[in-house]
Amino acid sequence: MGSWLDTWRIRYQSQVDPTFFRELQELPGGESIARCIQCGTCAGTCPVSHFMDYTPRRIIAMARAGLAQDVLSCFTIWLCASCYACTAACPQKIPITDVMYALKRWAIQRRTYPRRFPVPILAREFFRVVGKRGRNSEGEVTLRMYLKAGPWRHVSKAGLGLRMYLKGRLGVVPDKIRDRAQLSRLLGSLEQRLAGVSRQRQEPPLAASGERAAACCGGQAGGVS
Amino acid sequence: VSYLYYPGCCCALEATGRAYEESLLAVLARLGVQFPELGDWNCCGATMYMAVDEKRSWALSLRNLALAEKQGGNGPVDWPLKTRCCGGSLTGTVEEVGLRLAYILLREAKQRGADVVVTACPFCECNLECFQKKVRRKYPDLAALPAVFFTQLVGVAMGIPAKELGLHRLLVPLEPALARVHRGGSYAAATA
Repeated sequence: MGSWLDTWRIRYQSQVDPTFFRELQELPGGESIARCIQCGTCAGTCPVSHFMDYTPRRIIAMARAGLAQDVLSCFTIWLCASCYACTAACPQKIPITDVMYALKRWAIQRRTYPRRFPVPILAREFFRVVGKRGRNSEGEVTLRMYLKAGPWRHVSKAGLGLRMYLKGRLGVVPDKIRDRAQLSRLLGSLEQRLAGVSRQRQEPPLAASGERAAACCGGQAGGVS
Repeated sequence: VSYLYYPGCCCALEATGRAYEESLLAVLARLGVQFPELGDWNCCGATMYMAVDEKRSWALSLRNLALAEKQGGNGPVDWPLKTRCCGGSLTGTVEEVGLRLAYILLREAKQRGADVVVTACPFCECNLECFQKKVRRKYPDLAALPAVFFTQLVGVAMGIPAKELGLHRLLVPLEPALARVHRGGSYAAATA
């Protein structure tokens, strides 16, 4: 528990990051965030908003106000299941789910995500396993997540894992693609190569299209890559 | 599982659409789908009957529906949550949230009279089926409701053996629901 000031979420000008809103606007489609009319349709549509510390509407407002630290350390962005209900319903056509993805990536890059919270751990482990083997193996990724998130809190889940294993629905041998060397060449220097391409074309970095070039669809890795 | 066939006047014997019925029945026979006709069905009323008397046109449709109910007919229930998110990996990460999302979907499907939920997404299937025991422990008011891949239910309807459809991999067995479906059951289709 922090001080009552934290609990009441009072923030001062000195805590504001003036570059944060600009960075968000530089995302593909990010300029639309300025159009938000704070109607709350996203919060009303979101199936998990009542579990969030800030609703999606608040996240947009806080991001515009430059409250980077709060936005990047909250649980909201990790509770977002990327169902796109908010994006489909937004009257201002703001790609809210994409904004959430960007916030997840920044939270991981800046290491501001809540420690021991299983969602960012799952995203990172998934990213690592898929980058290494080219395929996700559910059993391995889940086990890694629980070990890192504090295995004592997740003992109760072993029963279901065992039952699924007995039904042949949980693999224990990690799956992998054949040409892993090719995959590691593809992913290895991606940023430098993309930067080279964008310099040649005199265009902004191709972040969004680059992410979609990975061999696997990415799934949870969308939160980290 | 069989479908009930309602030919309608146009496709009935010696009507303009006669070849429609003949070809349809030939194709379904080749696919191995049973297709009994709704016994003693009446005209649907089309648009003309409706133009004369609205209430009587409803009565015409109702008679067909009542006959179908008596004879047993399967179909999807109206399930407005069909595109609502199951929570994805939240069942594994933040269990409380994930289980609640699964509970909301299952309860609504059950209340709307579904005997089984069919899904297109493997995450939806896993959350609604594998985690169902946990969901029911947390929310005891929920009765068991099988959830399967839509291909599994299609396979059952086509008479493919259970083993080939992976029905033995289910943690919530489908068989009790199938017994009901044979007498005319309903399913809830999830598309998210």
